[in-house]
Amino acid sequence: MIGEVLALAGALLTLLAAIGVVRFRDVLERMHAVTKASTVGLLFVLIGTAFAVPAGDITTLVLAGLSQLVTMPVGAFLIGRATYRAEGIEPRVDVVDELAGVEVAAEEGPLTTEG
Amino acid sequence: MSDVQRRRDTPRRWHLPSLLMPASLVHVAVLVVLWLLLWDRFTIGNLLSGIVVAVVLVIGFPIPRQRQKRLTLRPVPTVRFVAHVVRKVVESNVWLTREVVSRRSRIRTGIVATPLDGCSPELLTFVANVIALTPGSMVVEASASPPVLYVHVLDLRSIEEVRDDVHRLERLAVHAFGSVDAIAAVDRVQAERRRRRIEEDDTP
Amino acid sequence: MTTVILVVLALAAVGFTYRLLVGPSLSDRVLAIEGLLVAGASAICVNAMRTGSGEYLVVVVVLTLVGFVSTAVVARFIEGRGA
Repeated sequence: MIGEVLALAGALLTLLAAIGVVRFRDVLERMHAVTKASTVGLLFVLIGTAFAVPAGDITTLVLAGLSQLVTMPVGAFLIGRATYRAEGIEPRVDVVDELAGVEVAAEEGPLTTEG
Repeated sequence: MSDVQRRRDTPRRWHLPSLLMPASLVHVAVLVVLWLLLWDRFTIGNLLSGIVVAVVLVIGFPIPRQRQKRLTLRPVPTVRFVAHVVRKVVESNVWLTREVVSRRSRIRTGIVATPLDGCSPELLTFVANVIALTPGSMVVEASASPPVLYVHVLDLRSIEEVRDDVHRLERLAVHAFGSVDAIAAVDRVQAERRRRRIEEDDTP
Repeated sequence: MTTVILVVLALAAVGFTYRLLVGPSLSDRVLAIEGLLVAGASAICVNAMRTGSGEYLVVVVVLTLVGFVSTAVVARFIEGRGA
């Protein structure tokens, strides 16, 4: 019972993310909605599932939650940066934009120069 | 197989034990744990095959010597950091609910440059990832030298507020996970910033 | 109860699909696909709750990782070629 309630909460959060994605006016804003709400929504669903599933499978749920938590912010950052730099999109920035005109060069880190 | 050394940390302020381990051993341990999680069962065969795979990976894709850091983990600051992040995650979803459902949109977006001095690149990455989970903010661009995070904010009321939030996050993260030098550096830089801002407020 | 959850997830999927079809730029579509992946992963978990067997839960891990890799690749593409 408690598992289903948690899963319902998670599903509602994902629905919230979907409404945000439909209603917000700009790509960057929509990205906020997706990464924040749907990540936590999926976490709730995973926790809810842990109550209804045999104990051996909980490790898989833990793994799924960890991988989600780690990869979502990085994905958002990559898309956000690409969107900001791409030619076809004008991101709506209302108040202050301290990134306009700043050239951030890609660095050659030691990882890429090792053989 | 692995020795874990516990010793009192210096300087004297930190009365908490910290766990210091060679980095590659930690990498092997993490990979073995992931392997076991994937296989769902903790048997000797799983453990041994996991260790073999982890060691092969760590040897085959080594992290260059100069980027290896000693990893530290302090229990109490870590709990404080995790509590702060959890609270922020809950806040962000509540805020998002209000924002999505309300008729009039109160969103005023902006991108703010927040300098994070005294931060290693690894810590910068970590703080940037946590910012993506906090209410209304997301990292859009980052530069390593000088260490600056460009944070895109949904509800921008004042630039200083955004910078303060990010700096508080950085301070909590460094106290929990940074080396002793990093803590000293961050404390010094942030005290300096506060002093400079007080001076600016005083001058007419 | 699980039926209600699945209906909610279906509505969320409809919302993401709308953005997938309409979204003026490629980045919008990438976001929509990420959202669809989350909805699909949640549906798999709810199904596991219904049947009580955790057989297909590994698919959730795979979905997350594959989604991340594809997001990274498309982000690279957008940066180079514009959306």
